[in-house]
Amino acid sequence: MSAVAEGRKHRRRKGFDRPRFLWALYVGICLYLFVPILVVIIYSFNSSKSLQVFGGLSTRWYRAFWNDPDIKASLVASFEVAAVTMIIATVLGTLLAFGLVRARGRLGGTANILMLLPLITPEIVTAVGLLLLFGRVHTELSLKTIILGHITFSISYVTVIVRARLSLLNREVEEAAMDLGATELGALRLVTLPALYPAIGASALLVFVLSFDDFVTSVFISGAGTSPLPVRIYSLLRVGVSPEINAVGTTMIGITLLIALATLPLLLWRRRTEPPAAAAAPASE
Amino acid sequence: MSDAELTVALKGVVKRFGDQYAVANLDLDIAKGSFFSILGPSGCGKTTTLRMIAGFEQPDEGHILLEGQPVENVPPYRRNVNTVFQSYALFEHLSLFDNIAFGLRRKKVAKPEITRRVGEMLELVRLSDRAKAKPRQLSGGQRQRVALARALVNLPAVLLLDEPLGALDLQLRKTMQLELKHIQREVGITFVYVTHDQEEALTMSDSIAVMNYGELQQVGNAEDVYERPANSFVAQFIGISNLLEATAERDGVRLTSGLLIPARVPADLAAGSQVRLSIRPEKLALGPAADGRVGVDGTIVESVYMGTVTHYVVEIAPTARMIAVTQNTEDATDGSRPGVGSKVTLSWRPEHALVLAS
Repeated sequence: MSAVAEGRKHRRRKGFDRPRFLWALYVGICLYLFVPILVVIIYSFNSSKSLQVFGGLSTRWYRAFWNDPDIKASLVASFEVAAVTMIIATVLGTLLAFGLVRARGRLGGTANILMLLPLITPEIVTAVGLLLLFGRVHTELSLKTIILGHITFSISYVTVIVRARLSLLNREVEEAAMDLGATELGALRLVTLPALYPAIGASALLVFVLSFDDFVTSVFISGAGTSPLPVRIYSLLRVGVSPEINAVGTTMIGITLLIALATLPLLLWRRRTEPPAAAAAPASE
Repeated sequence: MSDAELTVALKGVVKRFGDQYAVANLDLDIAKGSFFSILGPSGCGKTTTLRMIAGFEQPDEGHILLEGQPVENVPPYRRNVNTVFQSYALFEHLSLFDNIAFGLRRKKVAKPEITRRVGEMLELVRLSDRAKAKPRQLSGGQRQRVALARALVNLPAVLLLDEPLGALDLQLRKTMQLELKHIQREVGITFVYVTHDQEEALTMSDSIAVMNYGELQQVGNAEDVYERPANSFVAQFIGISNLLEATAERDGVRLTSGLLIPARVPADLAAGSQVRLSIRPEKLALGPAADGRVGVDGTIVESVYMGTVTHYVVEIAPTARMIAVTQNTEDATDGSRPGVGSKVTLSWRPEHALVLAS
C-alpha cells in the first residue's frame, strides 16, 4: 500500500504536469457543458413568465406542470417505457452476453458484429427503419412500438457491459461451486450471477436512462396517444416556449441524476469484489 | 491391493482432445489415506487426469472407480470428491465463513453443525479471526488455505489438489508443503496432488506417479523414482542425472567414444540396442576405485565451489562428460580439492549405474 501511495506522490510534480492553460480549458469546457443546464434549472424557479428576467424564487411552474394532466401522463408513459425496456433489454442482453462468451463455434463472430451494429448505426436510420417496418406490418404506433424500438438499441449496451465482466470471470469459480455440490443452475445462481450483478445492475440503469430521455426513435414511432416526455416537450416548444418546460426539464435532470447516483454504489461494489491484482496474479513464477 | 483399499482406481483411461491424446491408456491405483502425487511437465495430462476424477472431463475410454464404484455417469456435484483449484477459485462475494460453508449448505447440513465444522476448519488453517473477511482481503497464502478448508470441510473421500502452491513464493511454498503434509496426516483423507515440481512431490508424497505425453512412466515412492528410475525420462525429470548415450553389450555399455563401462544390463535390453547410462552426480566419487567399485579415468574441466558441496565436470571421453558432486566435509580443504586440468579417477558402486532404454 505504501509503495502505491509513494508512487502517486511522485507523479504529482508541481508546475509540470498541470499547466495553467489546462485548468482554463477545463473550466471553459465545464461552463460550456453545464451553463445551459444551470439556466434551465434556475429559470424553472422563476416567478415571472419571462424567459429573460428573473423575477424571484417560486415553484409556480412546477405546480403548473404537476397540474397539467397531459405532461403528467407523458411522464408516467416515459417511466413505463423505460422500465419495461430496462427489464426486457437487460434479460435479453445478459443472455446474449452468455451466448457470446460461452458458446463455441463459428456463429459467435457473426453474432458479435450484429450485436455491435446498433451501437454504430445512426439512430435516425434505426428510427426510420422501425417506422417503415411497423407501417409495413400494419402495427398501430403506440407505447408498445416505442418499447420495441428502445429494446433494439438497448440490448447492445447491456451485452457489451455484461460480456466484459463475464469474460473476466474465472470458469474455475463455477467449477468450484459444482465441485462443492451445486448443480449447474445452482452454480449460476449462487456464484456466476452474484459476480455479474454489478454489471447487470449498471447496464439496467444505463438502459433506463437511455430509454427515458430518448427522442429520435420515440418521435418517429410514437402514435396518436400519449407520447413520452421528450417528444411531448418538443411538441410544446413548437406551440411556444412556456417556462413550464424548464420545470419539466429540471425534473428530468433530477431523475437522471438520481439514477446515476444509484449506479455509483454498484460500480464501487464491483471494484470491491474484484480481487486486488497482487492476490489474483501469481506472486512469483 | 483389493479394490476396497483403493479410493481411486483408473482402468485403461483414455482422453483425447481432437486427435491429440491428453491421457493415453492410464492405469492408476490410489490407496486409501495416502498422499499421492501426479508429477510431470506441463501438458503431460496430469491436470486432465485430475479433472476426470473430479468429473469435469469424461474419459473417452476406460473406467474411473471412486471407492470401488464406477463414476462415469456421476456429475461433479454428486461425487464424493473435492478440489483445490490452481487459481483457488474462491467466491469473492462471500465471506470466508460462507466460502467454507458453501459445500455443507448444498448438502443441507444442520446450521449448528455447519457453524461447528466451519469453525474447526478455520482453526485448522489458522484463520479463525478472519471468518468475516472477504477473500480479497487475504494474502496469497491465506487464500490458498481458504481454498483448502473449503474443500476439506466436506470430508471427501479424495481431495484433489491442482498445483495449489504454484502461485506462492518459494519461502511460503516450503512452509505450505509441510503444512499440507501435516494436515493430510491429521485428517487422514486421500490427497491426489498434481504438480510439475519434482521437489514438492518428493517432499510430500507417499506415492508418486510420473507422467509424460499422457503416459504413465513410473509409480513408486520417492526413493523408487529417484534411486531406481524406470526410464531415462524419469531419471532426467527427477533430480539431476548423468545420462550418457551408449550401446548395450553383454556386461556393460559402450559409449559412442568406444569406452566400455561395466554395468548390469537388464535382461530386456538386447546387446547392441541403444541405451542410456544413468548415474546420479552424488553417487560419483573422485578417487581410485576400490571395494568392487567401478572406476573410469578422466580430466576435470570445470570445478564449481558451492559451499556445502563442490560440483566437478569430468571429461571421461571426448564426447562424454559427467558431473560429480562431492561434500565439502571437514577433511576437504582448499589444498585437497583437485583443480581444473587434474587427472582423476571417477568411481561408483556398480548398483548406482543404471542402464535405461533410450
